[in-house]
Amino acid sequence: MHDLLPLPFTKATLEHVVERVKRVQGELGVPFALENASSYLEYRQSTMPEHAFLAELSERADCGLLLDVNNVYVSAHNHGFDARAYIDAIPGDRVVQMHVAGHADRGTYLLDTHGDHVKAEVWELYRRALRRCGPTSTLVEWDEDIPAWEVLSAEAAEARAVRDEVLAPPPEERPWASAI
Amino acid sequence: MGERDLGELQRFVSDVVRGATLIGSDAALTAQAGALISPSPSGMAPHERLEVYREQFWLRHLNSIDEDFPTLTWVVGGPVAFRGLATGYLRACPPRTWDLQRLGIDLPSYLAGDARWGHDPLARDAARLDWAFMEAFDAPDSPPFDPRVLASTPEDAWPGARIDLHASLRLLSLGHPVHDLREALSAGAAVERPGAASTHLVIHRDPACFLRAVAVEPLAFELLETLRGGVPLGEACEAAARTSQRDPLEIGDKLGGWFQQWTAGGWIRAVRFDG
Repeated sequence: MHDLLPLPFTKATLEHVVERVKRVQGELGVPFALENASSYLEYRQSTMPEHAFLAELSERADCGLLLDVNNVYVSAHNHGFDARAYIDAIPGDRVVQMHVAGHADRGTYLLDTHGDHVKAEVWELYRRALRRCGPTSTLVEWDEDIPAWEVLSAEAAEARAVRDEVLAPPPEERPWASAI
Repeated sequence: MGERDLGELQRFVSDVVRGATLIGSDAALTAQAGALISPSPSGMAPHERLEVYREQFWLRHLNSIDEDFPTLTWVVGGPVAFRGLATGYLRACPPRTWDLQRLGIDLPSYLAGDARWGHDPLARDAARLDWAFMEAFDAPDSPPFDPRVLASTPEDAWPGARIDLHASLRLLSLGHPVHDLREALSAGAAVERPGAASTHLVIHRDPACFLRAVAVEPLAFELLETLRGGVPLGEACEAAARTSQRDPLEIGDKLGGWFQQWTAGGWIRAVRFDG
């Protein structure tokens, strides 16, 4: 399909996916992480929010999570849930990597495009995710309408700056700072 | 929702997404979407939400295949005409693998049966050439062949030698010099529709990872094709001479020069004397 189709978030789907993740991890013998996809529809059958599905999945299958912060923002807008509550409900110790990216406003929905700057609201959500998960490898995804290297590099520098700002120890824990 | 229901849901969504029909124009699909999908907070109807996926499927696949057939795109009249051809192709031959690089694998054979372009030999040649470039780009790598093997091999061992060609090598016998057309298009030069001319091409990825199309004489082409089948060199030379109705001695005279070209170009992966 070359597309990420959404799943109905039900107990039965959870059983189905947990079994498959365990099988893949068993075959590969290496740690495995699942990413939250951006989505544009919700199934009527769903009985639990996506974050609860992912939290239980990662716990029962003992796998990692790849937290795509832009995808959380896009899906929250498209489905009308609170992106901050989603981040707060994700098990931070399971998150092995984060993604940030740009998206496009299509009027009635947001589309995850990887073709623009990371929006201010997504950087804000990234700050929240860093506070919850701690230092985490982060990838800036920009693979459509790829700009000049300087622009890409500046976006990566922005991610580093946000990380340093959020994860810097408070002043009382760094008395050396006043000596600089 | 059991496993069977999940499978049915997946089949429904993937069939609709790959379909040619605008979902909202089909009452049955719209009703099915409404039964499965919630409307959005912004007021999108269920079928409109599913349509986002259908639109993205076609955009992604058409954008991907656009880049894979530059020569054919020019031959059929440009990007708009190619989009029409590619849309028909993707409807008839939906993607079969996870790999977008393989998306055009059936386009040369689809084109041969196409009512508009199937009778245009230049279009068929262009499709085969473009696809050979795609295959050469993605072929597995192998360590460079050590040409010292050639110098250190006793003369009487050569007839039994089997020549393994590099995995990226593609041999094309065409009716037009479409490789010149592709190169001119790539350089942004003005081009004209080429006339018919028997053309034997070796498409390959060179040691520096550049894709090349090299025209070779028919006799060398015959020999390469036979060697690729695992036939020992002596037998392959005799077979090539028979097929091309040439004197085997003529091949013997040219073999040294050909081997120099083949080793320098990275066409040879290994020479085996294992019988």
